[in-house]
Amino acid sequence: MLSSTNTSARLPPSLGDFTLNASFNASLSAGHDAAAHRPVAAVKGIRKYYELGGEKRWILRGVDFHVQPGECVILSGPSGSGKSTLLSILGCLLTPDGGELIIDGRAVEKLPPAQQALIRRDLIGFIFQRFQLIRGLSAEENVALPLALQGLPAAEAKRRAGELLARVGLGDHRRAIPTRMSPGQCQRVALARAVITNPKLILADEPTAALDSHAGAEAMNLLRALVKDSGAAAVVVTHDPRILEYADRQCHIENGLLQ
Amino acid sequence: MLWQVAIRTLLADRGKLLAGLLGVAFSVLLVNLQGGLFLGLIGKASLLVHQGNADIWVGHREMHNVDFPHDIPRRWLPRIRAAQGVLAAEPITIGFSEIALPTGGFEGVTVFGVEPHSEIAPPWEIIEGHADALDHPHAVVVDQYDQEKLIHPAIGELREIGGVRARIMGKTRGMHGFLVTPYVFTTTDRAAQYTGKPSAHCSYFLVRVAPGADVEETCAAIRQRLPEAEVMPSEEYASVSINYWMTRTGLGISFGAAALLGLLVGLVMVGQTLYAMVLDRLTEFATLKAIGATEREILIVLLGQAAGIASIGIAVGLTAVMLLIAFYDSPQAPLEIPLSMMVVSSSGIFLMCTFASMLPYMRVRRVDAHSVLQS
Ligand SMILES: Nc1ncnc2c1ncn2[C@@H]1O[C@H](COP(=O)(O)OP(=O)(O)O)[C@@H](O)[C@H]1O
Ligand SMILES: [Mg+2]
Repeated sequence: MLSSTNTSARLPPSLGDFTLNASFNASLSAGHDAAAHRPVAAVKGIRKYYELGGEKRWILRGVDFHVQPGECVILSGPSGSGKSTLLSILGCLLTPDGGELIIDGRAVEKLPPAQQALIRRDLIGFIFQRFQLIRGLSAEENVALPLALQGLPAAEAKRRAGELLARVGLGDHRRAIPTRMSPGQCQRVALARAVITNPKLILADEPTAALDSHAGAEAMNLLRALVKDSGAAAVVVTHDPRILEYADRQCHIENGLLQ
Repeated sequence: MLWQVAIRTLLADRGKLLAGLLGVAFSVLLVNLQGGLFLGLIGKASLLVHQGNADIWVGHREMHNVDFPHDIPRRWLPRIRAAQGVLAAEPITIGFSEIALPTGGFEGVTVFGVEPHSEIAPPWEIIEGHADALDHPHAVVVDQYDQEKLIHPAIGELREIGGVRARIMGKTRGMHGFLVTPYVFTTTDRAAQYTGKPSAHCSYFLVRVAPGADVEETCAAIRQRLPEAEVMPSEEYASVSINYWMTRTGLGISFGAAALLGLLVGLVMVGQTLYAMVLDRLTEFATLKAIGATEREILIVLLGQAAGIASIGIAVGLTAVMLLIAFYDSPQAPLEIPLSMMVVSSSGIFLMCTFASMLPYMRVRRVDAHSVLQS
């Protein structure tokens, strides 16, 4: 279980306006560099195929990849190159057909599903292209859900969710349901949900693809700030060139191999 | 918070929710209606046994239905009376005959003869005619319910039963059994005449045990003195009589099958409602998985939803059953729904509903979160 220290408590108040200054980010990154010996997540020789009409189609043919704490890696590549597949393997949503997956020092690819669920719950935060918020729940409840799954009482989970929503500029939208919010607002709720448990690894699959350029930039600014602040590692899948500037490192995947 | 997910997801699709609720309510109504009709009908099969004051019935070897006795000799009576624990014993006569109708036709009847001023035989409530109706010569008593079958006999009217004079002297209420033939109540002597039995014969002896005496021990004492007779406590003979109809007719099976169908309706409706809801929201369940919900937690959500639909549906169904009991009244098909039946059927349907959540659970288990969350 992660420490229950609140992510939002350590966010600067100015985050609500998205005017994060570079020096603040830099100072945080520097602070984490010392602790960054061990990768948060690493894959070695990962292979994955899909069966199509009885025929194996290898999507990943031995991918080596790792991401350090506080690092924001952008994974790019042509459509259909296996970016999402690799991300799902990193997130324990998909079992590889070969190779190793190590998260926070633990080999996880052979763990039973229930254990993998606990790893997702405690160590990983997901952000999806289509936000994937629970339609029936309010913004606050959506953000509180991962904390509640960790066993926090609902009232406390919602209180923290409310604080975090205020920090991402959605203080007025705590009770709003996802269908009443703009795509940009939904993605900010999804970002808050991904980081509320202070995960060590944040996985984002095309987080800006469903947003206009302004909302996309806002979301990326916010993601980057949240990642840098918490010292988490982030892997962001994208083929949006405008996002590249947010990367510490860029990896390109093509023909099943990392270039 | 899981229960919030469960409730909100349910409420988000009112149409499906309503279908599920109606299914459960209908299921409760159907099961209780079938069960109630069954109990009402089968209760008639033991009417004569249940109505009397007798503690023990003595009859012919292998007696199996109160309405179909085989003759036994009246001279057994002193031996029964002498048995340890017997307070009183009386003969009764039951047999078939025909009553002549004023229209020229005949109607089959079950003649039921008791000793004059019997303390043991089934008492009947005379609602028309004389309280001591049977004291009159040729007197018989019929049930008000059989008015039409007997072509509206008037009090004092003379008829013939089995070719022997019979005068209608009273009418009872609620004395109609499982058979379609009307009961005609009279004395044992006249019953023998109407049914053409030798007057030295009767059908059963009804026995009351002395205060403090044990029924089973008294039965044993009678059996010892009368090894050729069948001796049963009343309760046992009632269930033997009921069992006769259950096993020799398709009654048990047909009512049982209908009640079972009612249960299945509930199962299918809840299962299908939850399944359709889950199919609609596979991405949300995949999201729950992605953010770390275990399969157990997802099962809890689905079980909670099933239990919620079941509880509300059962409440609605039971309300309908209560209304039915309050407003339904038919002597042909009496409805007997004891509290225990409502409790048992509701629990059964509740269990069925929670079981029904397994189907959508299997679907959610199989969901490929990776693919679903891409779109
Ligand atoms: N569940 C699946 N079954 C079969 N083929 C799949 C499945 N998921 C992805 N694919 C195929 O694998 C390839 C890589 O998919 P994906 O990892 O989503 O690529 P990217 O995210 O880089 O566009 C695509 O050609 C896709 O059609
Ligand atoms: Mg993709």
